[in-house]
Amino acid sequence: MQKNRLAEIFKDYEPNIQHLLKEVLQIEQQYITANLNTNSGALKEIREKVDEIIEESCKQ
Amino acid sequence: MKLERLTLENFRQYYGRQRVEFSKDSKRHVTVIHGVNGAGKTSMFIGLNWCLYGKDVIENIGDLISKEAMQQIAPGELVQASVELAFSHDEQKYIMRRSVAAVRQVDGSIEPYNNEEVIMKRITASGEAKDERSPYTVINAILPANVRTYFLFDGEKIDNFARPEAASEVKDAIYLVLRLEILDRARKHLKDMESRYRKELVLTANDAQLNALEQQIKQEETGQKQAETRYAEVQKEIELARQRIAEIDQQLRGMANVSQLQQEREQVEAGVKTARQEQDKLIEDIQAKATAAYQMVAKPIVARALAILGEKRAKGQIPSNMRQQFVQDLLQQLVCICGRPFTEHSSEYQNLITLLENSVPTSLENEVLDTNNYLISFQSDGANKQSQVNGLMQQRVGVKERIQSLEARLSDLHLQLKGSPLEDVSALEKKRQRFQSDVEDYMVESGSLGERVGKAVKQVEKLTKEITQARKSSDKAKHLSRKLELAQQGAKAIDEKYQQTADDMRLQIEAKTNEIFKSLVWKDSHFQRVGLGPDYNLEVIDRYGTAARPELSAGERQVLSLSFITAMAQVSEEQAPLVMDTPFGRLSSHHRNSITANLPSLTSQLILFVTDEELRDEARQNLEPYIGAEYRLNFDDATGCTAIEEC
Repeated sequence: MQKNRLAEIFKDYEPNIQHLLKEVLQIEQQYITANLNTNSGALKEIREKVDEIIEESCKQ
Repeated sequence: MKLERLTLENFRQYYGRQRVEFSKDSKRHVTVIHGVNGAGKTSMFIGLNWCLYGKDVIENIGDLISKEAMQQIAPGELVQASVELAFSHDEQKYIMRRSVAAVRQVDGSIEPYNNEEVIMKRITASGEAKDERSPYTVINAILPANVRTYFLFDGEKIDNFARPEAASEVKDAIYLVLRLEILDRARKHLKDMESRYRKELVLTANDAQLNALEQQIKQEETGQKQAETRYAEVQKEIELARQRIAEIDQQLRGMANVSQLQQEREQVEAGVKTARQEQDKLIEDIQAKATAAYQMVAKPIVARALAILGEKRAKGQIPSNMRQQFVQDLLQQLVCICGRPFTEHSSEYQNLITLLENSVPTSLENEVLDTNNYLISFQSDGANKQSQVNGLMQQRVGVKERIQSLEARLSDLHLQLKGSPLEDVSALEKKRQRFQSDVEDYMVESGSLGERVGKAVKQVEKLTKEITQARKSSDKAKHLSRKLELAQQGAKAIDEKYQQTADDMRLQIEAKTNEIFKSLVWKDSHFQRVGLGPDYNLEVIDRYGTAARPELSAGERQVLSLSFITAMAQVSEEQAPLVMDTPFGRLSSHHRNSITANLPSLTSQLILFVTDEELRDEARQNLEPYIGAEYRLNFDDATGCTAIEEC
C-alpha cells in the first residue's frame, strides 16, 4: 500500500478520528524518513506533535 | 524513482572516471551489464548502494579506493574515490555523490584522509543545481534504506524468502515495504498519550470537587444574606426603641413633678456618653504606648548591661569616655586638660603616652561608646514610656470611677421615677426600661451579627478564589478527558484496522506472488498455488494439495523469492527500479527463459548485472525487445582494473 493512502483505511471512522489518524500517520512517516525513530529527543518531539494533533482534533 | 546515470571514479577496480547511462526509455527499460565473474559487476552494484545509503548499510564493503589510483600518487598526495548517481523521482531530477579520500604517507602507507562526504543536488526546471541539505532524508523518502534490499538485490541471496525458516523475514519485508511500521508507531504513540493524559487527570480537580465547593459557597452566601437581613432588622428595632425612649423622655420632661428628674437624667446620660468616649480614647492610647512594652520589660537587663560596662571601664578593660584623638591633641599641644603647659619627657607627658598606648583602636572604641550611649538612651526612653502609660492608666481609673458614679446616679433616678406615686410616671418609666433593655439586647445581637457577616464575607471571598481555580482545573479536566477519549479511539481504530490491513496486504501479496510464480515457473501445472498464511510462511501447494516447498529445487526457490519480491513491489506501488546482481546464476534454462520473458512487464526499470552464461539463447532473445542500454565490463588482468565498454 502506498504510504499516502494508508490513512484511507480509516475512512469509515468519525471525521475527527480520521483527521487525527491522518495527521499522526503523516508525522510518523516524516520521522521514519528522517531516521529519527531511535533518538529520545525525537521521541519526545513526536509525542508533543501527537499531543498538538489531538488538541486540534478536539476542535473538529 | 528512475536511475539515469552512474559515474564511478577510482572506485574499487574502476580506475579513473567511468560512466554507465541507464536506459530511461519506457518500452526499452532494461539495462544489461555483462561481465565475467570478478569483472566488477558486484563492485558496481555495491557502488550504487554505497552512493545512496553509505557504508553503514552495506555488509563487507571492503576497500573503496582503487588500488591502482593509490599506486599512482606520491607521498603527501591525496586520492579520492567517488560514486555519483543521477536519478529522477516525481518529476524531479537529482544528482547524489558520495566520496572518500586517502593520503599516501612518507613511508608509503595509505591513511584515510576524511570520512565519507555526501552531497545531493536537485536540478530545477531551469537546469540550476540546488543543494539538498538533508540527502539522507530525501533518499529515505524516495526509497527507505530499510526496504532497499527488496529492490536492489543480490541474486546470490535471492532465495532467502523461500527458505523454511524465512517467515520472520517475509513478515519484516511486508511490515517495512507496506508501511505497517507507520501504523505500529502511531498506535504506540497514541497509547503513550493515553497514559500521559491519565496521569495528568489524576492531578486535576474534577467536577465533584467543584460541585462541593459551589455547594459550600451557596450555603455561606445564604448564611451571609440571612445575617445581613437580620442585622438590618435589628438596626431598625434599635432605632425604633430609641425613638420610643425619646418620646417617653419628652413626655416625662413635660410632666411638672418629674421634669427636673428627667432633665437631670438627660444631663447624666450625656455625661456618661462623654466619659465613655474619653474611656475609649484612653484605652486606644494605652494600647499604642503598650506596644513599646518591651522597653519596660527589658529595663532590668539594660541596667545590668550598663553596670557591666561601668565595671569594665573602671578596670580599664574598655575605654573611658576619653577618646584617643583627645589624648593625641593634648600631647601635640603640650597642654594639660587643666590648661597647664608641660614639656616633653615630663611626668604628665609620660602619663598621657601610657594612656594612649593602653587605648584600644578607634573603631572598637566608637562601637563601645555607641553601645553605651544607646543603652542609656534606651533606658531613659523606656522610663518615659512607662511613666506615660502609668499616667494614662491613672486617668482611665478616674474616668471609670466617674462612669460608675454617673451610672449609679442614673440608676437612682430610674428608681425614683419608677417608684413615683404618679401612676403615669411609673408606667412610662417601666415602659422606658423595657425599651432600654431591648436596645441593649439588640446591640448585643447586632454585634454578633456584624461579626458573623464579616466572617461570611471573608469565607465567600476565599471560596470564590478556590472555585475560580477549581473551575479552571475542571475545564482542564474536561479537556483532558476529551483528549484521552480521542487518543483511546485513535489507538483502538488502529487496533481494529491493523490486523485487517495486514491480512489484506498479505492476501494481495499472496495473489500477486501466485500470479507471478505461475507465469515464471515452468511446472505451472504441477504447482497449484502459492500460499502466504497468517504465519507468513511462503508456501507452494502442489497438485496433490500438499505443501511442496521442502521439495523445491534451488532454482524454484529462487523463482518463488523473485515472485514474492516483485509482487511486494507491485502491491506497495513503490516507484523503484529493480536492480539485480547475478539473478539467473543458479537457474536452469527453463526458468531463465520464463523469467526473462516476464520480468520486464513486472517493473518500470530493470537493471541486470549478468554473466554471458546467464543471458544467452532464448533468455537473451526474450529480453532483446526491452533492452535500451547494454554494457560490458572488461577486466584487465595486467592492471587489475575494469573498463566499462558500451555495447
